[in-house]
Amino acid sequence: MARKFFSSRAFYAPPYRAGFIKSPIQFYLGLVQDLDLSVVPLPRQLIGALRAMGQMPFNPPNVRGWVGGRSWINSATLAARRQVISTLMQPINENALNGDEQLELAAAYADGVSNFTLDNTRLAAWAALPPGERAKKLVQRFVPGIAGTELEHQLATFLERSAEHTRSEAATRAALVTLLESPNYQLC
Amino acid sequence: MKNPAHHFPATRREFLQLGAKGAGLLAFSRFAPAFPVESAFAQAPAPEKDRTILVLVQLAGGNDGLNTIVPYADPNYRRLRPTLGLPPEHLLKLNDSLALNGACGAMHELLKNGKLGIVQNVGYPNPNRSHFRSTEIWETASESNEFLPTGWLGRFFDNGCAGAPAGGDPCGVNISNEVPQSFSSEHQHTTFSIAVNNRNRRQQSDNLALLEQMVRTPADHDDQANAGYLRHTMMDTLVTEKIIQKVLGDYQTTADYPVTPFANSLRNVAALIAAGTATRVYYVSLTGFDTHNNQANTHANLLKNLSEGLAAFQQDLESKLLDSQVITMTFPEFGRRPSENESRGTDHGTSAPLFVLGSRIKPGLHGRAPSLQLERNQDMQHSTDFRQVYATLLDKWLGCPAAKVMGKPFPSMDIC
Repeated sequence: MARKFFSSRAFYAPPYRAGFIKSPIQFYLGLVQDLDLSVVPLPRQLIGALRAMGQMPFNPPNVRGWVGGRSWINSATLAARRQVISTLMQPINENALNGDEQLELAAAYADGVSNFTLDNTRLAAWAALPPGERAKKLVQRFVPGIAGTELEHQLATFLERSAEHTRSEAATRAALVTLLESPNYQLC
Repeated sequence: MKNPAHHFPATRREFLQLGAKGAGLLAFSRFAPAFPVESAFAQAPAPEKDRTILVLVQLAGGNDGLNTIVPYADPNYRRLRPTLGLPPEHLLKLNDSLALNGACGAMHELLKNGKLGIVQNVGYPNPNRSHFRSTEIWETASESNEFLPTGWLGRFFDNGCAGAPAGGDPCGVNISNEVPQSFSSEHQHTTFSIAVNNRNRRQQSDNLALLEQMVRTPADHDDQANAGYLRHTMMDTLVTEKIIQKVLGDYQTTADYPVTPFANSLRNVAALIAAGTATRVYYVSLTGFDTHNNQANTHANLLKNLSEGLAAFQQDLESKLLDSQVITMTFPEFGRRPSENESRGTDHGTSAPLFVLGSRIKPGLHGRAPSLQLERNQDMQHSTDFRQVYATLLDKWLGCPAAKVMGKPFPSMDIC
């Protein structure tokens, strides 16, 4: 039954896509997955971010649970989502961690896991493409299925304009941040 | 650094006017909300300039009422508080039985000037001693065994802001890290949150311009209601954020705000009120009242912070002739136990006093002081239900039929 449901063509049909607002946990894990990152082993940071976005794991506001849907979205939670994106775009400030956290992080590094934030080398492949191609790639990857030509065009124009005064990696990063902040990315 | 090339309108109304002339950054016209306006709600006045304003100050953690309003003449006080009982030199006498904590000097002045009211011994039946649950009871104004999905201010928005023009100023603004449960409502209303440590989130302006462009562009799936809602809210947030950052950044005041995050929050509220924002409810939080051990200094510092912050806020509003428009009320989720514990602190208790501040409140003491004829670790009996205070403020101050918001009538009080 579940297989039938999830493998049906109707389930993936464009008219039914992008109608749900992602919950903070969906948003966060989706972001980590889409950026090819690993979940950072710093519970304090992680829980703080989820809490600010409005979903403290295992602690709903009352016995009714989370209302979900539109109630995920307000000025505070939108700002928190933007904050989460920018956190994933910057290296971890290891000086601000406490001893336990530093140990956790060191253990993760020792296991060969260090892709907790997006660094420039990972952007380089995209950054090498011409603006039009780059915009197309980004839209395809991060908001597939709803790749409106208009959106792509806006992104391409932005990249072209930034090319005049910004390095390609920085411009790609800015474009990516904006795309992830955009309404389209909040939907699934 | 300000960019003189961009003039941002100071009020939302001004912004809309500019927008209509095509000079605005974002055109709102395509974003008329699709949410139906319920006419079943009481037609309380919608947010608009020059209306009465309520500022709530949450004392998070549970304030020790007995060491805030001290029944110094009652021998039971010393019996219950052998080490924490405040000596006479740390008291500011109110009458021959009660005194304010000595840290509340600024509030004592306000009281003498007729700007401060004290509602004594406020609580609710069958008190709950969990921070979360008791906060929830205060914020939703429910019975102790009742779970309400909406907050009391959210229900005020439902009744008061239905029919508010789209794209108007937010109904409520909170300066705290999370949207207070008080704001949860049955219907969608714009509320806005400002982080306590309000650092100017600097995003490259061209980056922001692109985001605005994306928010404005209707996608193919725009027939999906959620997508439209999302874009509408995001647009609203971006616009409001820009306006508010500008208001807060440009605010000039002569009032003597102490340098604390709490006082800064009140300064920000004053800035928004002075800018003529139509918002009628502000919510500010002061945390740290959960004083389980070595309470004496911590509590005094908290009260000093509260007291001086409120005094500066009042001074600020008076200097701008806005004081007759604003009432501020403090509330904790509970008081603390009359008997001190073994760590020179106090544990979660029941009732506590509330403060009301403003030029149009009835000053002095309201309600009855708690009886201290208590055994060790016994709790106080409240004499005023907090919902009476809410109902009074709704009816007499915000001009909204209280029974509609509170679910049933509560006896009114003579506090404003």
